[in-house]
Amino acid sequence: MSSVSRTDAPLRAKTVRGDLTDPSPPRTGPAAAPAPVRRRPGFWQRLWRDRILVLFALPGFLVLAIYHYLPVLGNVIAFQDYRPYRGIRDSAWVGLENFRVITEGDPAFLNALANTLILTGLQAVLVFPAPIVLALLLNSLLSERIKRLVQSILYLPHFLSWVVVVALFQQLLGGSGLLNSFLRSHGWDALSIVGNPELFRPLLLAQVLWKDTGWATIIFLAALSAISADLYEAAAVDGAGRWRQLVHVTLPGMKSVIILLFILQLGTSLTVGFEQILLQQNAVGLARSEVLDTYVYNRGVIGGDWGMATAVGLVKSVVGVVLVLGANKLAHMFGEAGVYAAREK
Amino acid sequence: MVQITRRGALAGGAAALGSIGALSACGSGGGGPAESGGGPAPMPTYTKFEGVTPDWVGDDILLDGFRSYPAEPVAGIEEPPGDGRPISFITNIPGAIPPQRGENPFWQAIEETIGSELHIDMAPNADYEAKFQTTIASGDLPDLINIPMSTPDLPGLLSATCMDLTEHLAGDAISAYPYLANLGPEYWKGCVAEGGIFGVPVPRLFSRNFAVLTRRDLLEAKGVDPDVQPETWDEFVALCQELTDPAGGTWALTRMPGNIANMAAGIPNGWHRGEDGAFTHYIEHEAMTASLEAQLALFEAGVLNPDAFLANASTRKEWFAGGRAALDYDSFVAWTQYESENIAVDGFSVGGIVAPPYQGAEAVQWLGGALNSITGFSAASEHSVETLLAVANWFAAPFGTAEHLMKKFGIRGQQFELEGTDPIPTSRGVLETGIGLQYICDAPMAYYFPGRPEIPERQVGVQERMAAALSRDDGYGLYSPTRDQKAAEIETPVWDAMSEMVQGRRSISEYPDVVAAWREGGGAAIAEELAEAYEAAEGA
Repeated sequence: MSSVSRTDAPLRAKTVRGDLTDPSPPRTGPAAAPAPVRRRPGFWQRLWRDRILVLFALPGFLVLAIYHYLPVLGNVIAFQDYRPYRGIRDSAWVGLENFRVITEGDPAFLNALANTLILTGLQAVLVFPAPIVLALLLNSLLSERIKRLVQSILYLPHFLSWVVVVALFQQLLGGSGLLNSFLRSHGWDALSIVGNPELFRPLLLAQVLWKDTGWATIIFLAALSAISADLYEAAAVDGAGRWRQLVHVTLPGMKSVIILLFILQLGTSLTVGFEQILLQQNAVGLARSEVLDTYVYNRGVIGGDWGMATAVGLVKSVVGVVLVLGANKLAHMFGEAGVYAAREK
Repeated sequence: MVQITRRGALAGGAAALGSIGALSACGSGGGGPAESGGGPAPMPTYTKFEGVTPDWVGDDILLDGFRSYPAEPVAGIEEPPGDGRPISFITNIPGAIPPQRGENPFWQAIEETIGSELHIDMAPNADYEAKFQTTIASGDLPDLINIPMSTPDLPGLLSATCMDLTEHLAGDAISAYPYLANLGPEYWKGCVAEGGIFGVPVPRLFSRNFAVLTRRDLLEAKGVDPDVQPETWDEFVALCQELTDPAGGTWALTRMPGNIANMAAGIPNGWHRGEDGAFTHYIEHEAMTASLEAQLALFEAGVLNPDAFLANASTRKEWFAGGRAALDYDSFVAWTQYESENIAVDGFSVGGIVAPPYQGAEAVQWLGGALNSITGFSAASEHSVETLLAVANWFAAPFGTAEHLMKKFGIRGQQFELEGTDPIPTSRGVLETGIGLQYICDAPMAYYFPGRPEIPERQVGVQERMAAALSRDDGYGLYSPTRDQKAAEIETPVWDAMSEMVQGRRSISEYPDVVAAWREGGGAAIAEELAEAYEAAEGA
C-alpha cells in the first residue's frame, strides 16, 4: 500500500504542476468550447513532455508490476488442486473446493481466525495509539539534543529482525533467562512468562511495542512539526493551557494523518506478526498462537496444501481491500481526505 | 513431538555429514539377492561390496564400524563417469557456505576426477524445502534433483519429473553399477513410485536411531558412571535429578525425549502391521498414555531446561555442547557431530543411553528412517541415464575406497593430513568439502571417527544394545494418498495436545479423544490405504 502511494506521488505532482493543461475537463469537446486557444495535448505529447518524470517513475512502476501485480495472477491456484510439479496449467481445477475450510468453518481455521481478530483488536487499541502518545511526549521535550538522542534510541529496535527480538525476550524473560536466574539465585520462585500460553498475547504486544513504537513515531512527529506555531500562540493568548492546546490544536492538526495511517493499517489488520508468532509457536501451543498467517504456512507450505492456503490468503486480501475502501469511504463522509482525495463532482 | 524429531533428525543428519566425514560409508550385509520388497517394482539385486573389511561387522540393518581408515584405499572405478558436459545439481548443504566453484580447489578436483563440471545450486538446510518447491514449480530442473522425503505427493512428483531407472537397476542390471548394488533393499524401497524406481537413495537407517546422548565428562565430574545405562525409567528420572542444579543454571535435559518415552513404554515404531494385517499408528497405541505419564514425570521432576519447549535446535545443541545440560536427545549422526565440533574441548566425550523400560513394559528401540532423501534424475536432462547412474555410482563409493576418501576428505595436503592412516580434515578441508556431494548418492553409513577409535567403539556398543529390540516402521515404502494430503493437518492437533499434556497443562485422560479425532479426520483411512498398499506390494 505504502509503495503505491509513493509511486503515485510524482504522478500527482505532475498534474498539479501541469500548468500547460487546460483546467476544463476533457469531456468538453471543441464544439462546447467555442474559443479554446490551446487544445489539450495528446497522450504521446504529454508523455514526451513529462519524459523525465516518467523515467523517474519507471523503476518503481516495474517493481510494482513485476513483484506485486504479476504474482496476483498466481492466485488462480486457489481454485485448483495445485501440485508444484504439474504447474498451474496442468493442475486439476476444483472450483470452490479450497474455500470449504472457510465456508464450512473448519475448527482449526476458526481458531486461527479468532486469534487473529483478538490480536488485531488488541493491536488497534493498544499498539496503534502508542506512537501517537510517544510522539506527543517527544514533542514536549525542550532540548533538541535530548530529543534526537531519545528518538534514535527508540528507532533502533525496528532494525532488529524478529529472530533477534524473540531471542532477546527469551534471554531476558525465559525460564532460564536473566530475570529467572536472578530470582532463583535469591531463592525466589521463577516466573513463567515466555512459553506461558496465558501470557502469550501480552508478550506479543510487548514485543511489538518495544520493536516498532519508536519507528512509527516518525510520521506523527512530522505531522506535529507541520502544525503552525501561530496556532499555539493564538490558543495561549486565548488562555488555553497545555491540555487544552493538546485537545484543540495538536490533535486536530494530526487528525488527518492519524486517520490515514489507521485506514492503511486496516488493510493489513489480518496480518498479525507471522514471523514473530511462528518463532514462538511451539512452546505455547496452537490454541493460543495459531493465526491466519501461520495457519496458511503450516497447512500450505509445510502441509503442501497450496490451493487451500492460497484460498485463505486470497480471502484475507479481499477482506483487507474491502476494509480499506470502506474505511476510506467513511472518512470521506466525515469530510476527511482519507488515503486518497474523494473524487470531485 | 515427532514433528520436532523428524525435522531435527533431518537437520542433524545432514549437518554431521558435512562437517567431517566421520560417519561415512561402507555397507556389508546379509548378502545374497534382495527379497523382493517393493511390490510390482522388481528390486535391484543386492551385492555387498567386499573390498574392505570392517572392524565391527554389521548386517543389512546394523552399520559397520571402523577403528581406522584403511592404509591402502581400494580404487574401484577406472573410467571417469562423467560425459565431459556440465552436470547441474540442486541440493541442500548442512554446514557453512563453502567457497564457490572458482575458489574451491576441492570442487575443481572432484570435477576433474569425475570428468564433468558440477554446477551445484545449494541452499542452507533450513531453506531448502522452500527453494526445492520453487524450483519444481518453475519447471526449470537441473539434471540431478535432491528430493526431501517430506515432499508432498512424492510418488507423483517422482514419476512426473524424474527418469524411470527401473530397467537400468532392477534385478541384475544393477551389476553395471557395483557401488549402487552395495545399497540394500531397505534403501531402494523408498525410491519406488508407481511401480518403478525413480531415484537413487541417500541412506541413513541406523545412524538415525535416537538415544539419550550423555556428556560422559560431565557425568564423571558428578561422580556418576560415565557409561551408565539406567535399568528402569525411574532410575533414568533419578539420574536426571542428580544432573540438575537450577540454582547453578543447569538442567539435565535439553528437551523432552518424547520418542524415548514411547520406546520405554514398548510402543512400536511408526505404523505397525498387526497379525491380522491391520495397520495402527503408534499414537493410537494403548501404551501412549503410559508414555505421556513417563514424560510428565520428567517434566514434574524439573529436570528439563525451563526453556526446553522454546529452544530451537541450535540453542539446544549449545546447551549440551556448552555444558548447561548433561543429556540431550538425538541420533548417532548428532553424536558424531558433537564429537567433531568439540574436538578442541578438553575431555569432551559423548555416550548414549538407550530407552529403559517404563513400569515393567518391554522397551523397544525404533529403527531410524532408511533415507535422508532421494536424488532423482530430471526427465528433461540432456545427459544419458547411463552417465547419471555412473555418476551416482561414483558418489555411492563405500568406506575404504579411493573414491570415498576423495569425496569425503579431498586431497592429502590440501583438505586433509594423514595421522597414521587416518585422514584428519584441515580447517580449509572442512569448509571446502561441504558442497553437498553426499546428497547425489551415498554409501550405507558406517561408524568411524578419524583418530578417535573409542568413539565408533562406543557407538557400536550402543547399537548392539539397541539391536536386540529393534522396531521398524511397517508403513515405510508404502504410499497412502490420504496420509500424503492429510497427515500434517490431522497430526498437528495431536502433537499440540501431547505437548500440552507433558507440560501438565492438559489432562492425559483426554488423550483418547484427541486420537479419536485423528482417526476420524483421516487416521482410519490412512490405515486402510496402507493395508491395501501392503497387500498390493506383497501380493505381486
